[in-house]
Amino acid sequence: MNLTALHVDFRAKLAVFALMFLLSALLTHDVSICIALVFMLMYLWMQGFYRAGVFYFFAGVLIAFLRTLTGSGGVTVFLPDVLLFALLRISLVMMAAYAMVRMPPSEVTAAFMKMGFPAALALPITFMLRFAPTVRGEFRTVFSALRMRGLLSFAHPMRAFEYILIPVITRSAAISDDLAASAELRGIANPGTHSCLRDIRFRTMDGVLILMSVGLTAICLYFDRWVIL
Amino acid sequence: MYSSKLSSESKRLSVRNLATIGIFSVLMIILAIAVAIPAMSVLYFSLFISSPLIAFLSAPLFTFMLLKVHKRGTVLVYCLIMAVLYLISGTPYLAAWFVLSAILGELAMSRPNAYKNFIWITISWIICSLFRATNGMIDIWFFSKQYLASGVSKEHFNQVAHFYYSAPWVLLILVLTAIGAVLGGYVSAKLMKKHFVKSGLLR
Amino acid sequence: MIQLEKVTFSYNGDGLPVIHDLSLSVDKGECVVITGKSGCGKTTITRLINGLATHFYNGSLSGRVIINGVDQRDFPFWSIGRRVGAVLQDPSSQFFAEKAADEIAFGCENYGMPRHEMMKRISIAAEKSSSSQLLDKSLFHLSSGQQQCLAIASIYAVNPDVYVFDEPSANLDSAAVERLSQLISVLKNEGKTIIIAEHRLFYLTHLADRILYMENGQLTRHFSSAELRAAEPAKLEQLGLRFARLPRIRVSEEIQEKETVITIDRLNFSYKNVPVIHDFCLQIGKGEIIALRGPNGAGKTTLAKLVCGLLKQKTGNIWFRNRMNDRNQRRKQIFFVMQHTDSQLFAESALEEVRLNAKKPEKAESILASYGLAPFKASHPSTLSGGQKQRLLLAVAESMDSSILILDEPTSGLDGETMRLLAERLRVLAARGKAILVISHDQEFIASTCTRIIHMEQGKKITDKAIIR
Repeated sequence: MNLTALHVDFRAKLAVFALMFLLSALLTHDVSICIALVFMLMYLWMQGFYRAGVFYFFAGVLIAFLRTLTGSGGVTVFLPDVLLFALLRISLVMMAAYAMVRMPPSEVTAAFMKMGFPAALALPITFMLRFAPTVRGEFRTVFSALRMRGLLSFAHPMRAFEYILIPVITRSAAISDDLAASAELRGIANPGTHSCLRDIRFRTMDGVLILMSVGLTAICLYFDRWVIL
Repeated sequence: MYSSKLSSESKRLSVRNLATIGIFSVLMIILAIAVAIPAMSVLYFSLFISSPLIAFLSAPLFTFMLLKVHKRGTVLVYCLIMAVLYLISGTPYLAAWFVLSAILGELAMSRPNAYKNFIWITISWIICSLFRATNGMIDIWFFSKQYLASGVSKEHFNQVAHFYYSAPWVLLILVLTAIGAVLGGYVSAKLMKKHFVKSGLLR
Repeated sequence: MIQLEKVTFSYNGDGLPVIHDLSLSVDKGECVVITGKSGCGKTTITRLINGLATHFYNGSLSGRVIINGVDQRDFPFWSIGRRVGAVLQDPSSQFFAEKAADEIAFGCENYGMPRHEMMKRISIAAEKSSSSQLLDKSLFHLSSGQQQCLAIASIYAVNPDVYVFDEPSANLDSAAVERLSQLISVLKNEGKTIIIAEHRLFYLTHLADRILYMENGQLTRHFSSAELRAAEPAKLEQLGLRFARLPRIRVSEEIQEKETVITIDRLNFSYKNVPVIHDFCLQIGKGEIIALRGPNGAGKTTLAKLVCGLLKQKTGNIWFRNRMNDRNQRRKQIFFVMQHTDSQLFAESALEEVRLNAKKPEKAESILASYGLAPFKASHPSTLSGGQKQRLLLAVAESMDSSILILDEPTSGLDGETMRLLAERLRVLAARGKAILVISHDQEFIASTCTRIIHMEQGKKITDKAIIR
């Protein structure tokens, strides 16, 4: 079992996420955002999310580079500066979000329960996390089928809308029933205490991580406001 | 020997119902993102078209979700999930705003059998859509300092603020969104009847 | 262990009962297989035992379902999983966690098992299901066979006395069916009570103590394992069942030359820099029905998508009647029926579905009738059974009059009767000069239908032989 990668507590991940969100909203200079990106790269790396970390990091750096290159003009009409500006910040937030999205659903549920979250909200979110990665594939299959049948035409947008939506709805309804059945058959609705394979504990390491993130936030803000002029 | 009847189905939301809500919420969120992200590149599009378009396109998903679950509390849970997502994504003020929409949206469904009635469903959807449409405005109205400080170019801010601070423009955006939601509700009623009600897939 | 006493069940209160006055008693440690044509009610029996029928689908039940001496209705739904473990049909939509270890733990977690106990049970369950190497893999990337093994492991960790399977082999390839069969025999040796609703019988003949045949919601016949093995194929065919023994596919190296419809010439394709299709060459002639086999991830579906123009090849050419057509032109000549029929049906009725693309819409009804779907012409496609959806898609393909047909696992989850009907229609189409390529693991189907068999591994063609009958 690959539990060698560092395990970060849900609450620490949430704190990191909130801080990154704050930074994405407050930082004005791309340089300071890049500093935060470096930190997030290390954050994802130590949790074993190597590919995602590298991907978002370089995407962010590339956007920052494009922005310095083009000034405030943006790259053609399709990539105006506003969009690049937003994408750069989104990639920072995405890195923090990634660590949360990739948690096993049971851990999310257990963490929610521990934080006193009602099951009526924790359960749908568990299902959302399970379903979200498959949505693209579902849409892709429907589009492929439509192309095979030659039914995808811009001449009849309403009809195309119907043809896309109906199979997506039928499939999703079936998947949601299947998932719910398989969860119920394994006792997800047990009103008693659930346990968790992953040890849900707030360790010293999590505290250190939060302190480091707070430190990074302070440095970035300081850098952003007073060093770069 | 006794026989259990259909009516024994509990009025509380079951795991199955919650799964349906979760999964259709994902579809709606992804649809909204798919419209909103490309819309960002054109200012007027993102201001005037994106919210009404999302209200129109997501309506069938919302309607199907309500019809499939047909129990009190569906809209409440759906909007609260949105609130939680805004909370997690670091905008607690929008979360509070969505809690309000959860209460209002569910109130619209308080009539008996409202969960089978396309008109009440559409009204509830209008409420949810209007709340979503005001997200950007809330940012500017109450948090303009933070919004500006976030490094948005002054020029962009002025353009957006010009529209969001003027009552007629705001009204126009809201009216367009409501129209989008109403049309969406109308189209989904037709689609649901055509595909799912007759076929017995939805009761 | 399990008693069904005069059970009548319907999904909606006023609807026709799916199960009609049925009684069944299964002893502890017995392995019972329930078979019968699609829609006979065997899935519903599994749902009555695992509680889904009453607690999840909220149907109305009269009579009693008794597990280990207690009426099923006296248990709260969530606790049933401790006594009855259930494996459902589609492994890809019944797992919950991303990592396999978390998936095995899922049930234990819900029942609040202490962590050290859970760890122990996970490693035993993984070992028994021979999935120890998979523990830190992502379930999204595993084959359906591996997913199914993990689904069983996840239940094994909870350790119920009863296992209920609903068509567990429907989505599995031959190697995975073999593994499934071994796994069931492990469970049987541990004294578990096992109930399996299934169409494919060949892998169960040595495991089953009894085989029950269902018809219109009632159990009408029963066989012992030996009786089933000895049964005349003609008799099983008459009952609409699949065969108890897999027919041998006899091949010869000599492939008859036919008028070529499509030529695939040194096709290459990679996905994310990983080569999927490697120098693939193939000629498909008029009237041929080619079976494409190979392990999971061999690139069969990718090849199909390349041929029909849904994907673009990296290098290589595809010639259509000796002309090089681009992807868009090819799509008009080739029809590809993918897996997941739900995603490929768009209209509000079966008839309308066929009419949507029909070259001659007035023929839609007669085409529908030739697939045995005339009684369902007004039904919404999503309300049809899996086999009916598969037939409907083939009817659509026929109405479009494409010269080439590609089918991806068309017989998965089909009963013997539907499988034979499908096979017969394909032979009719081939006789009319269509070229057909079928991705399939279904040996019964291949042996009865196909004219040529290609084995594929790691994106390469390994063997290409003619089938002799």
